[in-house]
Amino acid sequence: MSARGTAALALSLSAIAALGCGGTDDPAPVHRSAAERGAALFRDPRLSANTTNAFSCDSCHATSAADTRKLPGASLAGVTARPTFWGGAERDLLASVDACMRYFMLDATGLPRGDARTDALYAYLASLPAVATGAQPFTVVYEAKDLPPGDAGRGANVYAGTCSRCHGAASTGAGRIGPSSILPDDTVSEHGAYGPVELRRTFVEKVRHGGFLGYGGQMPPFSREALSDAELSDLLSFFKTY
Amino acid sequence: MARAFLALLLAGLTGCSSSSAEPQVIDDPYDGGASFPAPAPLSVPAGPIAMVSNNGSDTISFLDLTTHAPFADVPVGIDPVGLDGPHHLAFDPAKREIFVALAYPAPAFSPGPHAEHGSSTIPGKVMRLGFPSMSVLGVARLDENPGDIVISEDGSRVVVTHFDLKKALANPGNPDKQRARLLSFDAKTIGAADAPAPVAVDVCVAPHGVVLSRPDGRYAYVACYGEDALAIVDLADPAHPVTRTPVGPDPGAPGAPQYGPYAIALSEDGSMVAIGNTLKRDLRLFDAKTGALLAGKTYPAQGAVMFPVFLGGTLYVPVQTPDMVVRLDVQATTFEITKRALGKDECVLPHEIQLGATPGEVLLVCEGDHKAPSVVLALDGTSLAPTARMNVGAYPDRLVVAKGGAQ
Repeated sequence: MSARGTAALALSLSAIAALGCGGTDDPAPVHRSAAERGAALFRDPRLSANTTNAFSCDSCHATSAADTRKLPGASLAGVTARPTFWGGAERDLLASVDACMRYFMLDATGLPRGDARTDALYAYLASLPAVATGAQPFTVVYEAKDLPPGDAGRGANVYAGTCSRCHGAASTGAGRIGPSSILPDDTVSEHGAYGPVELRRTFVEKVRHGGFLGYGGQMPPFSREALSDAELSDLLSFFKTY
Repeated sequence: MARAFLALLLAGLTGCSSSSAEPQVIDDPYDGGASFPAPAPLSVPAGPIAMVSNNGSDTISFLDLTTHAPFADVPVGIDPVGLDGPHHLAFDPAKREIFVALAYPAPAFSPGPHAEHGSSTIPGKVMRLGFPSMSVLGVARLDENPGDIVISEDGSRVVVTHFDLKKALANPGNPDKQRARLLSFDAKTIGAADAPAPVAVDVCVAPHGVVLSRPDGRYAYVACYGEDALAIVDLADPAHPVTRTPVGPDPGAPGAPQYGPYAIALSEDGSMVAIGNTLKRDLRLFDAKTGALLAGKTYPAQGAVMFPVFLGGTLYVPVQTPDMVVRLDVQATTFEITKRALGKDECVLPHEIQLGATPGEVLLVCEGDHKAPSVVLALDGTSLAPTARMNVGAYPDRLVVAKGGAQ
């Protein structure tokens, strides 16, 4: 075969291949159930209409016992059967979701009732195992008291299991989500005039109150159920605040 | 040449591969039951009920006045972590809606070094709730420190005062700046996106208790704590000057009260207003027809007079520090008929008294220590002895009775 003939054959085969690609080889459309779509939305920061948001429902909530992360929000397995939410402060599940959207995901509008995405998220939540259908405790620690020293080694584990998902690696912030501060360095430098006690209380306050009670920001509060005082002491020791 | 052939062939095949990698995703519609179903409405007993706003626990307690037992305790508010402070509430005459004023109090605890730098100047809100669904029908913004909230007897107006002591203290010598607003909302549209702006009147310094003339609520009578006056506002003509009548001789300068009129009640026929003074520790009566205080009608209460209630010529009065409840005859020269001291284990800081659902019964709200759950007492209207004790939330404040039942 001449060079010209070889090229022509190649072009012909390529054209045939391309033709087949556009014709009979297109994959069949994939149907996705509402629960499957809801599962995707659960993990998608774009559930919030605010394009600067970097957090999703999954940032704060587990959905099964297999998820061993130490998260500020309760596991949502069984949530659709619960009588109240937010430790009893809310009795409407959609209003509870909207509170999360407003405070943590910067979406003041929330999810409209009857919207396909709203329905999909509900379908996913309803599909989770109904393992904890009672009201879940959520004890807010209002007073930011100083804590005794803990164990820095255990504190490193607390950091890895609790803080690092949003704040990234300690002191570098590597892998952090969105605008999360670099810990503990950012907090220490922002409160440079504070002595050690006031600095520890600042950490305690931020962890316990999150963006609430006059503090501001997107961080959720860690209730007594989510994080014990002993674990917080360990974390403060890991941060070298004593 | 063979390489060129293969390259072209691969290019075509590769193009095929990339164009078919992402199948179209079709989202099937949700076909389950109701998505995010609304909470079940309250199961309301057939007989008379009462409802109480609990400042310290962000709830409304509902009481069955037949059995004298609570039948629901419902969370209200917007902030799921901090206190919204549901101060007072009003129940519309049609028994379909509840209006609750959220006061966002400054925290009573020491939160931490960061929050200590902030201020507690958070505007209040009024929430309009469906009854018995308790669903949120609307939210409207108020000024800081909403004090009292009432609805007119015909259900047309919702009126809110603002007990703004900060404003009073921040502007000494300037009453115009010290005075807080009274807001009058259209009850049917409050909180709706297209609701008209409320009628706003700079009523007086630190206004608190308010009652409305009957039936249309045209005139508001306001206890002006911060300037020792009873203010009268014509809500149908808000441009009309506010009348401020001193509640006694030698009133204090605005912002430096000597009487501290805080609580108020209107007689059933609308002819008489009772004013409870917390600093002077007395109760005075105002004639709504003549627009003047009734001479010789001052009851020295020994303690701070809180929200009383009329029953014909009888006036029931709660008094704080010392805690007691008093029954007065407003026509008699010697007012006092019955006085009953309240023990610490019985009722701490009685705040308000209302007529019960049955003749001869009155209901007394006990603030308690503002942290732990407290009680509402049913009292015998003659002896003032307790006949029932009903548990409510922390720091209960306003009590409203639906006498004929609420269904």
